[in-house]
Amino acid sequence: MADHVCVIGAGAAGTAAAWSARRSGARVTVLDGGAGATSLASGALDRLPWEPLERAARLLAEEPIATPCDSDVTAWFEALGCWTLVAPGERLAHLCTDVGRLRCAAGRDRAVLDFARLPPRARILVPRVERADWSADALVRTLESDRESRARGFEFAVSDVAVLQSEAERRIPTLDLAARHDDVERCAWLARSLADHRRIEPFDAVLLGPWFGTDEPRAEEVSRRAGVPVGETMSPVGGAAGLRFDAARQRLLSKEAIACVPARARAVRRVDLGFIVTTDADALVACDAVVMAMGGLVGGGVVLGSPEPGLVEDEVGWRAPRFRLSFESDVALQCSGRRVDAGGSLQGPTLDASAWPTAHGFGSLEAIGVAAVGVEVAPGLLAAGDAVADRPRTMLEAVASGIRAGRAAASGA
Amino acid sequence: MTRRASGPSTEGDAFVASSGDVDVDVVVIGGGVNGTGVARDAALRGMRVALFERNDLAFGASGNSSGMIHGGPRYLSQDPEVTRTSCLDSGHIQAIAPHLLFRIPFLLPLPRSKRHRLPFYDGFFEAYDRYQPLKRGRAHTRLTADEIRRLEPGLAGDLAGGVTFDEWGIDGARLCVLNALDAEARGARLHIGCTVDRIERDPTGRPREVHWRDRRTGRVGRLLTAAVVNATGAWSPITASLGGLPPGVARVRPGKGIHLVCDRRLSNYAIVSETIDGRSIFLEPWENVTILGTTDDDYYGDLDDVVATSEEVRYLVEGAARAFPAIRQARFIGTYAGVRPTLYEYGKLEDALSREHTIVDHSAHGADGMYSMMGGKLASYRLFAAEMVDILVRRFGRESVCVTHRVALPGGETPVDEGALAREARLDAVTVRRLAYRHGARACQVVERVRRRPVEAHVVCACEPVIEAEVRHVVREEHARSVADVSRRTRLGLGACGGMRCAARCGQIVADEGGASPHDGLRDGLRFLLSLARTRSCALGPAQARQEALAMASVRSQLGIDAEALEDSAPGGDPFRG
Repeated sequence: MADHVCVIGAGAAGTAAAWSARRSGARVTVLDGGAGATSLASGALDRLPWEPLERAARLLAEEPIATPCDSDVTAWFEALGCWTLVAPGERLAHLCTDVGRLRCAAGRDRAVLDFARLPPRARILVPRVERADWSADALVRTLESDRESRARGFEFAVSDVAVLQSEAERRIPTLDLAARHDDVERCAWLARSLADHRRIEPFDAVLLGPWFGTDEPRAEEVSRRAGVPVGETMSPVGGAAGLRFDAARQRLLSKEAIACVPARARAVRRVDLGFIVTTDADALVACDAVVMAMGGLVGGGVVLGSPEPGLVEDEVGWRAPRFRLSFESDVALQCSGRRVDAGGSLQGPTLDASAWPTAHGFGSLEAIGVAAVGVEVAPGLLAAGDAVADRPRTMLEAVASGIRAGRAAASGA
Repeated sequence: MTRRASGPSTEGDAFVASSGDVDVDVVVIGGGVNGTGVARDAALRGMRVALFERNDLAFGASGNSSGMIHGGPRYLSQDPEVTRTSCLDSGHIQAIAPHLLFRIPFLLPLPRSKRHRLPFYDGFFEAYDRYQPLKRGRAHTRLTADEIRRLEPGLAGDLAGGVTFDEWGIDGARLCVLNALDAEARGARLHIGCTVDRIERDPTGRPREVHWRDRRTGRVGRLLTAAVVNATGAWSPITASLGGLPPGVARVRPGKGIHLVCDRRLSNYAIVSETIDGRSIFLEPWENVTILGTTDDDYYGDLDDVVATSEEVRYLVEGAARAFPAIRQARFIGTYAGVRPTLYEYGKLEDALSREHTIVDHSAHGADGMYSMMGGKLASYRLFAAEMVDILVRRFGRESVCVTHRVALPGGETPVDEGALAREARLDAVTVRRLAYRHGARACQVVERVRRRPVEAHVVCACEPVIEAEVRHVVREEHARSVADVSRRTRLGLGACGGMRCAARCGQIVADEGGASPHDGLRDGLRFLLSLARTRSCALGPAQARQEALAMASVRSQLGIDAEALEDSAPGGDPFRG
C-alpha cells in the first residue's frame, strides 16, 4: 500500500491517475507542467482512431456502437463533468469537425453538438456569423453531402439569426468570444434570440462555432432555454474545448483534495523504497510511487533534444539530437516495438519516411513513448496516456490507462 | 515584318505546314518555362499551338528553382556567353513582367584566411558589373569587415570583408503560368494534366499525329500536327522515346537540386556560403521566407516524384551555418526539389557541366519536324524559346520576328496602384500587395470578384495571404484543378502553418468550382497536406518534432487520415487516382 503517489502530468491520463489513486486511499501530488495534449483537445473523445472504425463499419454495413468500459472510467467522467461518454450499446456520437466533416466519437465535450441524438430528417440551422473563423455556407455544403447526414435525411439551412451582439465581435479572437459565453446573461440572450427565431422558421437543432464558454460548457443550458439542441463544432487546436477541460480538472482536483503543483519534473530518481521527483523549481517530492503521465511528443513529455545552443561539436557537453524524456530518469524509450537509443547519426534521427503515419501504421512521432508492460514500467513506477509507447493516442485510452496506473500505484503492487 | 501582337491570328496567310491537313502547326510537350515560352512565342507569331503537360505547369525544374533570374556570375569564367545571355534576357523579362520581380542583393563574405582573394572577387564582380545594366542591376561594392558586419550582423567568423552584388528574385511558377495564359489568349490550346502517349510518324519518319490522354479523366484524343517540340526538360529522353526515337538522342544529365525553406526572413541580404565539399550555396530572403539552396547531384530516380532527403538538408544547413550560424536555430517549414535538364556530358562533376542551351533537330535521327530543347536556365528561357520558334518559322517558310520581349505578359501591361485598389475593395493592404505581385494588373479581376461577392474576401491561407476570390480565380482562369495546383499558383499552404489551416478549405472551394463533392475536396486537401508533410519530414529540427506531432494529431482528428490518402501521397503513389 503506497502512502504518497506522485503523478507527473495533469492532462487526461494524469488527472485520471490522480483521481484513481486518491480513491484507492493514497495521498496524491500532481505536477502540472502546463498545457499538454489534452489542453489542445478538440472536444471529441475516441477509444480507437475513428477513421478505420468508420471504414470498418461501412464495409460491414453496421452501425458503430459504444462498448462498455471500466466502471471507474465512467465514474471519472461523471466526476470531471465537462465530458460525457456514449452509453454502452448506444450508437456512437456524430460530431462535426471544424471543416464540416461528420465523424463518429465514443464521447464528447458537452458543448459539442451530437448529430446522432437528433431525430431523422432533422432541420439544422447553421447561423451565418460574420467572423473569419466561420464559413456557414461552406459548412452547410460539406455537411449536406456527408454520407451520414444523407442517410439520416438531415436538412441544413443557413440563417441570419443574431449570434453576435456587436460589430466588434466579428473580429475578436475565438477564445474571447467563447469567454463571453461564460456569462449566464449572455447565454440567456442567445437562447432568447434562437427561441424567437423559431417563430420565424422551424428548426430542430442549431450548429455554431466553438464559442460556448471557456470555464464550463454552456451549450446545454442554451439548448434548454431555446428548446432545441444547440451545440458547437469541434474545436481547433487551442480552442475552447481545451480550456474547458483545464477548468474542470482544477475543480476536480481541488474537490478531491489532490495537491496540484504548477511545476515540471526535472528528474525522477529511485531511492531506497521510494522515489524522489525533482521539479524545475528545485523542489523535491518524496513519494512511494510515481505515475508518469507527462504525455508524448505533443504533450511535451518526450522531446527530441537538441544540442545545447551555443555549443559546437568539439565542445564537451555537446550531444547529438535524440529522443529522450523531458526529465532525467533511467526509463527507456520505445518506438514501434524497438528500444530507442543514442542512434547512429551525429545529426540525429532520420525522420524522412517515419515521421508521419503510413498506410501500415503510426508514424514514429506518434508512437514514441516509454517502454511499459501495460501500465507498469518498473515496481512503483507506472506510466499512462500518451507517455506510453505504441498505444492508440486517444482520450479514452489515456483515461483508462490513467485509472489503472493510479490504482496500481496506490496499491503498491 | 512583324505581326502585331494582339490576339490570336486569324488571318488568311496561315503558315505553310508541311502537309495541308493538320489540326495544329506545332505540338509543344512540356509545361515548364521552355514549353510555355515556346507556346507563347509561336502563338504570338500566328502559329496554331497545342501544349501538353502531364503534371502541372512548372511542375519540374521551372517551379522548383532558386526563385531568381540570375545572371549566373558563377559561369563568368568558363561560360561568359551564358552570363551575357542570362543578363540580357533577365532585362527583357523585367520589361514584360515587372510586377514579378523583386530585388535580392547578395553578400559574399570572405573569411580572414582568404583575404588575399578579396582583390580577385573585386575584379571578378567588376567584370560581372558590365552585364548588370542589361538587367538593371546595381554595380557591386567591396566592403570592409566592419561594413559587412554592420549590414549583416548575423555573419559569423573572422571576416576580412566581402563583396556585394545584385540579383532579381522571381516566382518561377507564376512566370510559366503567365506565359501559358498569354499563349492561350492568342489561340494556343493548353492540355494540362494530359500526357502524350505516342507520337505517330508518317512513312518518311516525320511526326504526324500525337496521341494524348487526360490522366485525371482518362479521356483520350489525337491531334494532327506539322511539328513537335520536346520541351520536357529532364523528361526529354522519355518524350523522345514516345516518338519511337532512342532516348539517347535527347539525352540529358539530370541534376537534382533541393531547396530548404525557413519560416521567415532571417537575414537582410542573401548570403553566399561554402559547403563542406567546396560548393557555393546561398541563403536568400525570398518574399516572406528564407530559401537555402542548392544541391546538384546526378539523379536516377522517378522524375514525377522528386523529394529532398534529410541527407541533402543537413548538407545545406551545415554549409549555410558556416557563414550564418543562426540558421541552426531556424524553423524549417518545408523543402522542394527539382531536376535540372543539364546538357549531357560524361566524366564531369555536376557543378562543372555547361549551363548552355541547345536545340536538337531530330531530322538527323530520321524524325524531321521533331525538335528537343535541352539545357537552359530560367533567366534565358525567352531567348531559348525564340531560337526554337525561329527554327519553326524557317521550317514553315515564313519570315517573322520574335516580339516576346516587347509584349507584356498578362498583368504586366500597367502598374497597379495597390493603395487605391485596397481602399476600393476594402481589402487589407498586404492582401492586395500579394495579389498585385502574382497577377499584376489582373489583380483587378480578383478584386472584381470580391466586389460582386463580398464573402470571397475571406482569407483562406493566412500565411500568404490568399483570399477565396483568388482561389476561385486561379481555378477558373489558370487551369488549377487541385489544391496542389492552386498552391503552385498562389503559394497557398507553403507558409509557416504547413497548410494546416488552409488545405481543407481550399479543397472545398476547388471542389465547389469544379462540381465535385465537398468530400472529394477535403480528400484532395488531405492529400496535399500529406505531401507537404512528406517534404517537410526530412527537414524537421528538434524544436519542430513537437509541432509536427501536434499537426498530425490535429489532422487525424479533424480530417481523418485514411489509408487511401496516405497511399496516394507515399512515394510511388498516384495523385491522379480517384
